[in-house]
Amino acid sequence: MSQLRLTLLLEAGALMLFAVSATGGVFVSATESDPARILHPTGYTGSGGTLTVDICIDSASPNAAAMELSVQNIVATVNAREAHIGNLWSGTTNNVPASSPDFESVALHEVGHCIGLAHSNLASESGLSGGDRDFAKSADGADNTYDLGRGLDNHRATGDDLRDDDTSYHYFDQSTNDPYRLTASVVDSTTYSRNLANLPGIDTYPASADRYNNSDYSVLQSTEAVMNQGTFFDEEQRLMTADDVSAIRYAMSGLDEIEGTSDDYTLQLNYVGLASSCDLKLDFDNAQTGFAVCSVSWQRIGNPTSKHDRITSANVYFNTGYSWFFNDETCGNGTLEGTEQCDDGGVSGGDGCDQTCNVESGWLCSGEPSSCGEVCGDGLIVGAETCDDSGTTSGDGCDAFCAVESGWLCSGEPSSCDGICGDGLIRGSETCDDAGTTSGDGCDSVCQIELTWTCVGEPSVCTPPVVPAVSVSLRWFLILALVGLAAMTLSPSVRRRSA
Amino acid sequence: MRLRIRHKRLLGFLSLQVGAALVAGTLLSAAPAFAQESPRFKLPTDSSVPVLVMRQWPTEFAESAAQELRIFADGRCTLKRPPMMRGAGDHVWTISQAEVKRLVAQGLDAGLADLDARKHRAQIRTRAAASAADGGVQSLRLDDDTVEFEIAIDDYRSPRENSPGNVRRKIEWRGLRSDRQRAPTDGSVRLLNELRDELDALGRVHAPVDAQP
Repeated sequence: MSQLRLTLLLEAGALMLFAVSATGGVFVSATESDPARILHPTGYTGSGGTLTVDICIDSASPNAAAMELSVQNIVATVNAREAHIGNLWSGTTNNVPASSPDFESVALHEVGHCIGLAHSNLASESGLSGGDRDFAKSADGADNTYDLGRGLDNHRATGDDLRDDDTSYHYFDQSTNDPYRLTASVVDSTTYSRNLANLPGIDTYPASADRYNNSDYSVLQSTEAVMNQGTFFDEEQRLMTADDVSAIRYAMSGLDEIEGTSDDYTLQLNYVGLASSCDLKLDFDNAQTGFAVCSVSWQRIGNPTSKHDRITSANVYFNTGYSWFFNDETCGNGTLEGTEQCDDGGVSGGDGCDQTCNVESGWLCSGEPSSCGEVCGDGLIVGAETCDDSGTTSGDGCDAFCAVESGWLCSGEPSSCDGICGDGLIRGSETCDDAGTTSGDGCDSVCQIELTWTCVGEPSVCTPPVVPAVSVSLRWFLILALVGLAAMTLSPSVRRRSA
Repeated sequence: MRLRIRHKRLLGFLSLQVGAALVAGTLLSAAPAFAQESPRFKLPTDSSVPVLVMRQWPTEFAESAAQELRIFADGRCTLKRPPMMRGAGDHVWTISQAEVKRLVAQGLDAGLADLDARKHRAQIRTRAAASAADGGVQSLRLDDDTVEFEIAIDDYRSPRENSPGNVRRKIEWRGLRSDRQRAPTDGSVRLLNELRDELDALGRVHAPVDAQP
């Protein structure tokens, strides 16, 4: 991080503490004149309940069989509606070959469009180029120009962006405006809004989950909304973020945009296999796209004042001209497949088996489903470990199970441990511990025995130096000798002789 | 009497001449094939200048992923495919000069030398938005790719210009397939799509995706 950037962050730090908020995505049918429009998946008429959207692969499509596992994974991902932090994997951290686009990642993005979600960033349809496309989705406003002020943090798509009259399309969490975290238990018009007046704190614009602003929201893992346009080859992005999930949930609150009412629906994608028609069909057809596209049609639900639309047809097309990578794994099903190093039946990181089914550093996993445990003695502190000094010997502050022993304080990786001075226990380099840290009482402030003192026990009891005992006769002899020495010193004859 | 007869013959002759001229004129204006008698353009003599270029790139990628087809006046064709494509790399082949002229003519028919693409695209989208306001079915293709055409010809006789001139022009169209879906009856959009498909097919035939460059 550059010095300038750090300085700006520090300056903005206090503001950002309460400037973070959670955006909820954008819908395909929103327009500049009608930015609040919400596009619902195929089949929604305004009646509540489970909304089943059948998804299929064109039986005549090239790569039909290769697509199947990825499409099933996408169905599970959308139906789970889990918001993940850390959903971008590239290079050796994924199973995608270099120079290949990952079919599952691209297909998840296109399926997102085909259930109603628009890009969360300005994207290519803005006509802008480069990084300008990464600002949060909007129309260009009355001045017909996108206003792209980065604000104090100098980052795009953050809450302090200065966008002048650009009409926002984003639904955001009114209490946070954090695009990475889904904290609201209810996602509807009572908690989310598109109205800039409802932004929290001093925020000026809805933020969107863009990979380049992760640190602004204290997100340490590379994370980006699936619906953010702009991928790289050799990149895996198969899990959704809060930005994506909240948009789906907002739509599920129905026509009244209130959760818990009769028009709510639960979206359920249903994979029906290879077929010639279904609600949402995937197909490799070079006449339809140069790479990948969602072709979608929709119609208004209800009367002309309604701002809700329903998809009437949806097709995702891909071009065969690319070196597509077809994922042969289902991470999270508890079965080891392909290049998976582990599969613990979940897709949460931090438990030894990460979101992409790779074993995390400091862990050891075995079995199906994988059971993962911390490796004690490798110098890395993970899971339930409270220390790891690269050894497994007890008595040095970090015990054989990598727990800090009583009376010790450990820090760093590998851990360095020493006794806690003042706790009454003598550990490590301590020579005493009198349960205090005051010097002058025999045990000093760093738990070392002071000169001539004697300390024993835990807590240490310290005693001052003792004058040695002498006999009465010896005492009188010494007194007389001192007196005699004084008399000789004061005698004139002695002084003269000396002179 | 004789005079009247001769006058009648003259009138008949004149009316035949006028009729023939009208028919010829009508045919010339109706059928572009007749126009080839006086060529609409000449190919540049500098063989290093590509007369027709098509670049296409997916909008999904945040990095350069353009493929580029170049056709030169001498019939040489080059195709560059980016690393993430099958058959990635540079491919070279040759087509006949007649084929070059045919493709350039197809490009001219599609409006590469004359069409105000930005204005035309805006009109299509405005009409689509108006239709949307009526509550009809709306369609959109998200992540549609971008295509860019370049043309370089000499002595082009534009329908709008009296004197021929050299043309070096570029048209970029984001979402060409989307606009065909929005405006299925629009001639320019249809012809541009056909040109793209034709050039795509040319690349696939001469540089198959499974062939090594």
